[in-house]
Amino acid sequence: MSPVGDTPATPPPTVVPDPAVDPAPAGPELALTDLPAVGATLAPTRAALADFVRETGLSPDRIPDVLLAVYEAMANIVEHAYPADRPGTFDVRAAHTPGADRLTVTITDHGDWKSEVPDPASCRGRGLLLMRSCSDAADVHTGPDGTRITLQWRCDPRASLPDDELGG
Amino acid sequence: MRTDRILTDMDMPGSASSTLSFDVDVTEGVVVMHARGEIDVVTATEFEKAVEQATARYRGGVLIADLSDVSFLASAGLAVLVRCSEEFPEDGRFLVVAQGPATLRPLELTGLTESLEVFPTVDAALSTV
Repeated sequence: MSPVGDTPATPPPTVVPDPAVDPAPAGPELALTDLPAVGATLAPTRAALADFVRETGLSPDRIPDVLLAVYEAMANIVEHAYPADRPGTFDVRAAHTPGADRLTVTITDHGDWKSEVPDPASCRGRGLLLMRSCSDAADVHTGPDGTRITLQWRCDPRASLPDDELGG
Repeated sequence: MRTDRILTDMDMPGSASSTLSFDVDVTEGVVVMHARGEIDVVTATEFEKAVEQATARYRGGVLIADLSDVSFLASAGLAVLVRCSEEFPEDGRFLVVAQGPATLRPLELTGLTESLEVFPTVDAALSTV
């Protein structure tokens, strides 16, 4: 039996809106999901993000900041979120909200940073410092299901970015 | 407009992988190691090995790590620079050449321009030797 005139439409990707992160009307979005939390994932993901960010109108001299901050967030997941013998996955979502003139990138894992015993030789402190200093607003939210890092940049450097729009 | 992508091996062109290569010049006891590419989580180990090998081969001299052609420097690379500087023989000097947003900015933001010897050009570094 062949289907007649009733081909189901491809269901749209399921996106759970997060009003705490992105209250403005949607603009261009990039969703990279179920990325393996291994080092080899990072460079291609950075390249994909670079392609996306170049289209947002963000000042070109801020693009290296975006790529470095997001890279450090991802590197932290690769190195700390999961046990070495049980690597997990993470998601990277980027959204440009033209109305709010803002680029928001969220990096979400399903692991447990707390299980990591701080290693004095690790570069974790420097990475998180870069993540914060290269973004206009940064929030790390750890819940029972993992950690969500939200990074934001003003596309217009003259505009202000209210800190209170980032939930704790 | 929305783009949903799951990166697979097929989606990853070779150019998307991080790469790092080195050229080493030696002049009158000064080793200049030119690095080209990205120093990140994946390549930081190669970078550290290259510096260690150069340090061992030219013991007691000056090593200049030239990052002029490095297009990306992550904290993993910064950690290598710090270790190399700390472990460098006391009778030598470990110098870093970095300029521009890709390399100098992360060094500045983490305060490492204070603790490492950083110069804008190889010539500027050589002029102090």
